[in-house]
This record gives sequence, structure tokens and C-alpha cells, in this order.
Amino acid sequence: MVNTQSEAIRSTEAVARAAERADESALIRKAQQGNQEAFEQLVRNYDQSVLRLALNLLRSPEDARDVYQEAFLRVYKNLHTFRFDCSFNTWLYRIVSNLCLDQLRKRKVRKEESPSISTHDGEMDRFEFIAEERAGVDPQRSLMSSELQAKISEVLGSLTTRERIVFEMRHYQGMRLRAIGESLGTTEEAAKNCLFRATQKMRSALGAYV
Amino acid sequence: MNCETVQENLSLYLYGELNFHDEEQFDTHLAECDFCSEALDRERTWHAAALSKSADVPLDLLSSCRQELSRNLDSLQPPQPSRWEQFLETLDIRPSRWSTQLAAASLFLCVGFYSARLLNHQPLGSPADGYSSASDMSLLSPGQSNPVRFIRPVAGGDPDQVEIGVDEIKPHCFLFHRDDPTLQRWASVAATEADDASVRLESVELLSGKPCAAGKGALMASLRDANFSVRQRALGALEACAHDPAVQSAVVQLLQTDRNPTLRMEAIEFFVPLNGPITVRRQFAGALQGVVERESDGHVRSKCLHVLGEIKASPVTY
Repeated sequence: MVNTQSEAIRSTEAVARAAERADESALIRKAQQGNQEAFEQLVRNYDQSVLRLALNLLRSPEDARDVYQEAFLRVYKNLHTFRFDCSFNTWLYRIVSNLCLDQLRKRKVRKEESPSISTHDGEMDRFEFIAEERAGVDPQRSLMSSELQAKISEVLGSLTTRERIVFEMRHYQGMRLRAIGESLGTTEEAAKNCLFRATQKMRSALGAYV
Repeated sequence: MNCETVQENLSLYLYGELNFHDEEQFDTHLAECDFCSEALDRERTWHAAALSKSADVPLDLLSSCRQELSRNLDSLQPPQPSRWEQFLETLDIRPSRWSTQLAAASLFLCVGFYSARLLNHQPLGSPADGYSSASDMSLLSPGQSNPVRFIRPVAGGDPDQVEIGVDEIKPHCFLFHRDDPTLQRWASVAATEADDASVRLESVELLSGKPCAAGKGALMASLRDANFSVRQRALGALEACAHDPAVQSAVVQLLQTDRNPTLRMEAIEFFVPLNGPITVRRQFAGALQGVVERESDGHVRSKCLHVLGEIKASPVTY
């Protein structure tokens, strides 16, 4: 019974996704023909997700801003080469994830920057700093124990780059494993293994806190 | 599904990444196992906690990113598709990655093929005498992909040698002694598959005498050749194995079906050698009686009756 309901929900979602894809394809074709408004609409459809992914991965507003600019400029320059071989979402995230990986590699070369930054109130986690810039604060978040929050940050920081990026794409961006695999130029199975390892680490580290 | 498997895959279950079968087994197990249900609740809790840790996009950062992008775009010329892409666009053709690769592969193949034909006229092997070496030919296999272009005696050369011209990517010419088994193999194929009737005729000639098994098969097949001369030469070449039942069967079939009365007459003479006993077996008497009933040519009919008399068979069927 549960499965029948979930299958019905999935098929309804599939129909909705198909309609969205058709609209999006029309938008992309217009943008490919040089329609500036269509391109801006495409940017608005995706730019929050792109910025969020870059922020979550890089933990730096400056680097996230650079990735945002570079990603959409590349999309603009190369949109005419997009042949609908994959979804636009996958194509875009391939660009963004490559840029983020490049940034993380550069950081390794110039040594990992400190996870904390100096403020008037003393040393502060970069991630906390980003969060404080938000207009509003999620009430659920305020209920979370600071200990658990710190632990989550610690575990996320301990994941390998690949585990981290797959976890970000699946957990925060809601991307399917197949699309993640395509975005990262690997197989769905490899993405699944990465996610499996990431969630194992999260579970064993956070098990005592939940 | 046991508890260990369930607890290892709790996240994949929550992400909806299990297949239908596994998800069903998961649900069944969770409905019966309190321990795993509690583990699922804990998994949900840390999922939610991690989700709340996600950086919400600061609106001022998003706004400044958009403004900066707008400025950057203004300074760029709109990307123009290439002339080729515009041409495809007008034809409403949208090449996929695969079609592009296929087109490129075809282009390279054509360029390679015509370059080989145009630029290299020298045969492989021994360019000094103009022949490819026999070892080169051993690398080729006779058939449609390597058609025989000609088979001919060597002009002003050894009468026991013949030339075979083979079209591979470029023409090859091979020199063989008449007794060479490889020659018989190529001639067997050329006798039935060569487009040129003269090549088929020369091949049949080469197979006469003591044909190998493949050669005998090719000669029997040549009895059905579209060209009269090829059929006639094949019939003559098969005289060396006139006692073979398979050959006799093929000749009887020729007698029954061939349009040309001269060839039908020669088919009967095949069984009646000038200086020897009649070779046709009694098992073909029925077929010969059928020929007598249908035969319109008087000479063929009377010859056929003679053969039936010699093998002590009735001239007609009752």
C-alpha cells in the first residue's frame, strides 16, 4: 500500500518534471538564439542553487562569488554548443563542480586557509560567519545544540573532496545519483559508493549526538 | 534483508535511491524491526541537522553576484554560432555527439581509402617485377570483400604460371604456379563470385583437371551460371569426376533445367563417353524419363532415350 502510494507520487512528480523540462528546453533554445531575457531567466532559475553549492563546498563567500561569475560566463559563451545530450542542470553542475574542485585544488597548493576568520568578537568559523549574514534565522536551527552543529562542521570538513561534493549535491541540492555521476564525469555506481562512504562517516560521528 | 544491510543503507533509503525491490524489502523489514526503526529515526535526525547546517544564500551576496554578472555580460559580445552551425540550424539539423563522431569517422575512412588508391600505385611485395608477394596474398581471404579482377596466363612467360589480380584497397597482382593449392582456392571463389564473366570462365578453366573439393563444388555451382560459355566449360571440367554421384546429380539437374539445347545435348554426352561405358547411375533413371517426357528438341530426346536403353530403364514412366 505504501509502495503503491509512493509510486503514484513518483509518477505525478515525473509528469511535472517532464513539463518543466519542456519549458526549460524552449527557454534554452531561445537563449541559444541570442535572446538575452531568456538567458537571464535561466540564470535566475539556477543561480541560487549554484551559489549555495559553491558556498557549502568552498566555505568562502569570495570564492563562491568567483565560481558563480565564472560558471555563468562559461554557460553564456558555450550555450550554443549545448546539444541536449544531458539535462541542462547536469551540464551546469558539471561546470560548477569542476570550478569548485579547481578552487579546492588551488587551496591545497597555497595551503589550506584557516577554517576560522578574525572578527571584532574574536575568532569565528567561516561557515558561521556566512550564516550570520542571512536575513532571517531558521527557528529549528536555533534549537540545535551548538555541540551538534560543531560536530557536523567537523565531519563535513573531514570528508574527502569527492565525498563532500557528492554529499553536497545529494543532500543539499537534491540531485539524483545518476545526474551527480554525469556531472562529475563518473558512473552512478561510483557516485553511490562515494555517498555511501560519506553517510557512513556522518552516521558514526553523529550517532552519539542524536 | 537483515538488520546490518538495512542500517548500512538507511541514507540511500531516505534519499530514495534504492530500487523498487530493495525499497519494498526495506519497508517490510522496518515494519517488523523496532531496532531498525529507531535507527531510521536517528538517521532522519542527523539528516535534518546536517540540512540546517547548509548555508542559506545571503540575499545581498546573491544580489551583488547578479549585478556583477550583468556587468560582465554587457562587456561581452553575444556568442555567435559558427557558419556551419548556422547552416545546420537552417536545415533544422541538431547533430548529437555521436552523429558528429560518426561523420568524422566516415570522413577519415573516405580520405584514407582514396589516398591509398590515388597516391600508391606500387603493389606490395616485389615492386621490381610488378607482383605482390604470395605471403601478402595469404593475408587476404577470397570473397566478396576481395574480388578477383582478372585471372590470365602470363603474357610471354612460363605457361605453367598464371596471374591473379585482386582488388583490395588497391589492386594487387599475384603470380602463381598452376599446381599451387592457393590458386585453386582463389579460382574456386572467383568461378562463382566474380562479376566479370571472363574471370569466371578463366577460373573454371583453371579448376579443370583434378579439382580440389572446393573446386568441384565451384564447378557444380557454375553449371547454373548465367553465361553459356561458363556453364559449358564447367561441364567439360567436371568430366574428370564423372563417376561422382554428386556431380551426376548436378548434371542431371542441368539436363532438366538448362534453356540451351546444345548444353542439354552435351549433358547427355557427359554420361556417354566416346570410348567408355555409360557412367550415369540407375538412380537417375526417373529424372531422365522426365526429361524424355518434356524435351522439345528431337536430338536431345533421342539421345536421352538411348541412355535409358543402355542402363536398361524404361523410356517412359507408367
